[in-house]
Amino acid sequence: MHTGRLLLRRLLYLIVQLWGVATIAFFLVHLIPGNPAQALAGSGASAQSIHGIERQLGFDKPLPQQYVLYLWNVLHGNLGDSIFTGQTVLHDLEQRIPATVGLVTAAMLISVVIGVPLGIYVGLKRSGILSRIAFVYGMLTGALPDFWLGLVLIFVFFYLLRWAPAPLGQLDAIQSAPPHVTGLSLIDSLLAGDWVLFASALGHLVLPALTLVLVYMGNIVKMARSSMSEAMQSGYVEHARAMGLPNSVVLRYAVRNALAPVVTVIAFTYGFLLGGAVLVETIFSWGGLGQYAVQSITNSDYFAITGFVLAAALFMAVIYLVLDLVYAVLDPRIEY
Amino acid sequence: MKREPVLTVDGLVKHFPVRRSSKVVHAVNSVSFTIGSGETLGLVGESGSGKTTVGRCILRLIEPTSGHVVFNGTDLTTVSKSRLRKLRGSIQMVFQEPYESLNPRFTSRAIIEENLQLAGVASGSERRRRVGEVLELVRLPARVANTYPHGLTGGEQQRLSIARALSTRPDLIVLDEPTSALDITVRGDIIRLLRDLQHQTGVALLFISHDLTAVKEISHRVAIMYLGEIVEVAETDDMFSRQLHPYSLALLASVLFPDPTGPLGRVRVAGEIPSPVDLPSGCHLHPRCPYSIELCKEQWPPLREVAGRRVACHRAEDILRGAEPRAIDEVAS
Amino acid sequence: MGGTLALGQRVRNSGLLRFAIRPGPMLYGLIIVGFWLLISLLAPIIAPYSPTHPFPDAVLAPPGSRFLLGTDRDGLDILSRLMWAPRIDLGIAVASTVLALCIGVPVGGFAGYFGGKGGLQGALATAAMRIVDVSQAFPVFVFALAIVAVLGPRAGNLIVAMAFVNAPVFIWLTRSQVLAVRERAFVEAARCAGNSEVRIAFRHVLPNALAAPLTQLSVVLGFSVLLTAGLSFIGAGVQLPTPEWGLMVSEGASTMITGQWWIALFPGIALGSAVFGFALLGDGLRVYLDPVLRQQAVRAQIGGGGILHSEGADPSALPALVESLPGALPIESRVVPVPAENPDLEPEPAAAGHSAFATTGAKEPTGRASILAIRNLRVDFYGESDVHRALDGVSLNIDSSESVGVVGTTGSGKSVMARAIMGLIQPPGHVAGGSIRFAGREMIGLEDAQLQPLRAHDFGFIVANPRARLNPVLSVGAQLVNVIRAKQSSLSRKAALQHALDLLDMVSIADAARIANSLPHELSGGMCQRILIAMAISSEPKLLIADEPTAGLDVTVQMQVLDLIKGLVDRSGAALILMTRDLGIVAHYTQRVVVLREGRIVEESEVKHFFERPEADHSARLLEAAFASVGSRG
Repeated sequence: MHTGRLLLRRLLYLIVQLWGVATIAFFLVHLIPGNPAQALAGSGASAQSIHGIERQLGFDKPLPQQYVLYLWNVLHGNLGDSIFTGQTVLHDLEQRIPATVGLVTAAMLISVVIGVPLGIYVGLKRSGILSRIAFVYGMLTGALPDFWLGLVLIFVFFYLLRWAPAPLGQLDAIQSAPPHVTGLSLIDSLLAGDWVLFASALGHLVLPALTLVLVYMGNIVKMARSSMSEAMQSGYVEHARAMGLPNSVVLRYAVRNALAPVVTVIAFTYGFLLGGAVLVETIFSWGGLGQYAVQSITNSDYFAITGFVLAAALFMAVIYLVLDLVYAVLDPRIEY
Repeated sequence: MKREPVLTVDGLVKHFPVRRSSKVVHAVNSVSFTIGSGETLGLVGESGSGKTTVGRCILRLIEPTSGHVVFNGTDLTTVSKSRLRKLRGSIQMVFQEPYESLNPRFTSRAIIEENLQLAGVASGSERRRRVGEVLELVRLPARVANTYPHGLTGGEQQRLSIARALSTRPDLIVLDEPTSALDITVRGDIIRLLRDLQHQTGVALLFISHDLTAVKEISHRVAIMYLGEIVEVAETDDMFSRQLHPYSLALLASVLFPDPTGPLGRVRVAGEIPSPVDLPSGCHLHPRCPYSIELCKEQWPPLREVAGRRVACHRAEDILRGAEPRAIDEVAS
Repeated sequence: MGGTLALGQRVRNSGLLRFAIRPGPMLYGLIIVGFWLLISLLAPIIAPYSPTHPFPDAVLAPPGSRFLLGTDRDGLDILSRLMWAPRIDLGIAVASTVLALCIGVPVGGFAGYFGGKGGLQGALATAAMRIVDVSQAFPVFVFALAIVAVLGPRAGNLIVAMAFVNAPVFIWLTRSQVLAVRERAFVEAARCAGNSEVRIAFRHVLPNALAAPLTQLSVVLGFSVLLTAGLSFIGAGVQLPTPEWGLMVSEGASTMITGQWWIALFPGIALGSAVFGFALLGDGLRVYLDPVLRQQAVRAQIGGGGILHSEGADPSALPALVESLPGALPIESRVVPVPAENPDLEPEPAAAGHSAFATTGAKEPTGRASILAIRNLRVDFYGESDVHRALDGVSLNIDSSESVGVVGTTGSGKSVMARAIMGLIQPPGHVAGGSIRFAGREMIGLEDAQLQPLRAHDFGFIVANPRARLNPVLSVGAQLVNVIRAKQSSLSRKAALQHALDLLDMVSIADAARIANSLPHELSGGMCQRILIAMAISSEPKLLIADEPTAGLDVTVQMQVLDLIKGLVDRSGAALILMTRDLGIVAHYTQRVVVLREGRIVEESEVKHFFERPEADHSARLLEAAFASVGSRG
């Protein structure tokens, strides 16, 4: 019952939040200089044809009216057309979301599988070499520019060692993409049973994923370390030891209590990357959401930008929703 | 000794709303008492008794739900905010945690001077003179004036709090657990200081505390609270020599005197204080009371006059005649 | 607790400068950031060439003697550009962060002070936080990108964009600080004095809420540097030919694939080091402002070999930390450092039946078997710059089924003694010497695994602040079952649960089944203490150690708990060591009194004798204070 009420409250909140995001995005975007109708019509178009396009897009109407129209369309699943690609924004997003989600999810999975146990371990052994390394790593990775680290990895693994493929997308240029199912070449090639293509997709995924892991796993390690170390010094852990509980139980107590803040960091990082792996995508020509966003902004592609922002906000909202649910399981003290 | 009342609290009620519920926390239920000039009333109770809420309502740090607080003829519950601010100089407060109640970014001098300034002491030289005067009064060395609170010991901090309260020459000081956060060796000093200051200035004190030994030392009269009500009021000596309310009996039996030969009080109350959201029917103590009878479950006992004091218990006369309590195991079941 | 807060303040104010110059993150951070500030300041003098003057004859020159770090595609000297760049990078970061602070602190302060208060201000506060919430859903980088796109890619606009992106951090921090500060007693005191709400907000609340946002300043600065570089990298920030690190990396991006690594490598290192410096600085500040973390950090730095009681130490901080009891009283008198060694306290012959301190009136050998023999026990705690000897040569004998009260003020070493017996002393604490024999077996030096069965079967441990001693996310019943099964591993879960319910019944919990299903935070302090007692007696221990078992409980509940402990001990014949500062408890619930002062036993007497004629001066003072606060004897 608790969970149901929580879900309902969060869903209502999510709708309000998305409305707020759509509103801010809409007005912000309309402040971007440049005339998209001009861009659409081409450089040599007559004033009349530009005007025609403006009318067609509804740009001749007053802004508040455009806003209402926009909301109405969004409610009906119509995010508008992209001026640059000529497709509907929804279609563009569907094309690109799998690439971004796949990359970020892969990076997060690796980070969690390595980072959480590592952090818990160094949190337990507060002194020692590994602990120091983990501390410096935690401080250092947050400081490294991901776009630069990606370039260094490319230089080392592509130019010097020739281990990695060229950083030009999810597959080699000469390879044709597998039948479109999800849009992520890694999964699609696997579904198609094309092992050569799968290996290639995997190879292309390694460097961008590694870049993200190296830069963003530090936060997870840091948080796991500090919350574990805090839990180990708590009164309940001391008392569990005083009661003669076996080490396994004592550890379970500590880990259970240390996990909640770690999960928060994981969720925040995941949400941040889904909307913000822009630079890494650019360097590796990944063809995901981030590149689409940059492209749209440079082209004053109104509907594409608002569409992207809405998608990113939706991602974050869903992640936070899941976070709240996980939290409710981890910490029964929380009441909704 | 009858004194002109400085403060009259009449039917004070404070209910706090419970979040996402129509229920309320019955923090204070109809509390009435008076304090005469130069008198100290000890307001005693355990956590959840509502004693602190009473103090905060008197100063209107929180708005009472109903009832009246008349101070020197003015009803503080209806007075305007601006008029109340002017009256603040005449009623002062001393808090439980001395360090917490002093702004860590102010020197002792600034703390006292702000109080004086707000009470209308406009002249700077007059304020400085008064700071020196009041520090001497609470027996703090003059150098303390330029110290920040964290540079003082707990005892010194509480003296500073008292100095701040005294600086405006108030008619009443509400002291909320002023000794509870202090080390045992300092507690006695603060009590003696307060007693001396009262002799010198004639200020009335409302001494709110759970520390019965401190209350005994300083109060002229003692009121014992349980679950938002006063259950017994008496002159201090009367109260400590004999109690007529079962809760007072249990509370005083819980005071462990540092004397192994002394008797250990027998009367206990069972279990713990119930939730102030759902108060027990009838007498609020009846589920824990070793003297309770059927009547107690049904009928709420008002404060009434018994043997020269006021008690809220159906069985006060029986207890006066020496009725035996039941064993605590029987009460609990 | 006010006591611990007061302590935090005291620790905090012992000198930022002294903390900063200690080798550690903060110092390294200061050095790195200072280095870049200096470079940017001296760039016109020390840079070998102009940052914008190309050398057409030396395009893409690798690092060498003419161009130390090489040149880029336009033939610009990379070293010179590297030196000029921090002017832009740090300049934009500092300006945008200050702007973000100027937006965030007032907005956050307003939202915190008026939040939940109703009225127009309350509504405005709620509205402000809703807007911040919504802006949090924007992807940070794209948000900044869009703002720059709106305003045009100029340095000034970058500053505005990043201030917008970073302001929510300061709003959140300031708001949460103000929310905490506005509940503190000095704000109520200010209201009592007749301050208006506006005056309270600005004079009393806000100045005390600034520490956290200011600490965050360094972290946000680092983030801003990264963001500036990132935006410039994709062409949405600073434009060529301005020297800027991100732009320089982007200049070298395409040549990374063709092998000209130097163009992107060096600016990236510069960028990373600057951000790293800010991160270190921020971490140092965070540790500095948190007294607990600070102790750990210092401990890690000084390692094992500290100096005993060096000059300038604040010995009051440690014992209080060690005895961080709930409701712990603020330290009244500062602990006077004791001499490190005391020749009088050399271990005495083991044959002695009782302590070397046994004064007249101390107990005669009863013929009962000794269950616990402590000899010359010394425990050290490592502090910021010194080592505090918490126990300094304690010797004590406990017979089976004897009740002994250990009395002392805060910081006397009671809790340390309890934990030393349980083998629970952990860094920064350390058993420096002596012997603890339980039923004839030496316990000092035992591994945790060897201690575990002893703790499970022979010891019972009850401490103050019982709620914090229970796992907050597990029902108390489940915790009790875990304890029972640690002692009888053969017991099935079901049988253990039944045993748990029986135990709850034994500690006078009427509604055992419901209580067993409750989480610790749902129970009162008295109830939690009963649970701890149930855990302690679950194996019928031979020795029960109760460290301030009733601190923080109401007096009527205190009586119930003490009666319970006494009843259980009387029935089971266990020995009891009861640590307390309340002489009333000692008088009525123990047979023998041990007085601890600054880690040493100053008196050991039978209860009656102690209260009639205390031997040590310190005992007399404690008794005097107790009577003074009581008023008269009984």
